[in-house]
Amino acid sequence: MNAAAQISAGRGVFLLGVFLAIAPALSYFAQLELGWIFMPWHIPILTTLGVGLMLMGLLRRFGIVRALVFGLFVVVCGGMWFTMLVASKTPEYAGPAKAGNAFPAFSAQRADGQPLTQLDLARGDAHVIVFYRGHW
Amino acid sequence: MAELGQLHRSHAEFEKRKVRIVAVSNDDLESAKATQERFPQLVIVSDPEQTLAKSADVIQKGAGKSGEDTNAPTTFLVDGSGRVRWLFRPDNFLVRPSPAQVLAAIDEHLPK
Repeated sequence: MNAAAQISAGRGVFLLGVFLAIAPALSYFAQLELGWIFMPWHIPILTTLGVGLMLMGLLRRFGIVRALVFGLFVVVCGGMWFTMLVASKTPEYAGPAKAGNAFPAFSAQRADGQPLTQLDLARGDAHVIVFYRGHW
Repeated sequence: MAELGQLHRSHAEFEKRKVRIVAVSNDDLESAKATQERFPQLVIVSDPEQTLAKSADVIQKGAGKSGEDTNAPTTFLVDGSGRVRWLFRPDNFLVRPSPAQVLAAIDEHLPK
């Protein structure tokens, strides 16, 4: 194998791995834009595949830059699996607003400045009350 | 926010069933006003002191962006007498009920 061929050995598969590891960020953005709020398993799976391809490229030819990029994506990939499997877990609901119970008493303010209490929920119309994590 | 967008796009189906959608976050009033402008068919509630969230016991400790306590995503269906008929709490905050799921719950749990 000549010098040029040695340098480029595994480059294609390594770059494909980098692309696969980066692509989930774009696909997750698209998922949210489309309003599909399901578990984004494609993120860690594609990143893991990407890391695997990077490892193949690294084994074909070792280089400091490749090793650093590979190491970086291993950490990113680990972080993604940790987020999906551990950090994003929510506990089972154990509060007082269970099916069959009256919604608990509260006093809050609507964005239009009007007050809102549990009495407003008992004036005939049904309500879906969505607690969400805010504008971020 | 994606959840609110989905609900907002489906608001006609909720109106047909005479159900109003109230969305509650810990955002301050200014942020809540901006959200209200974006989703005019929903009722946006500003709950920065977490008064409502604490009443309903939906606070998840340390789950906010900077480690603060914040709302665990939770959806309640409350009938016209103020009684809870259904609730949805995903086991992961990356998941939300779809409008179709909420509408199905309305059709199943509220009197016709």
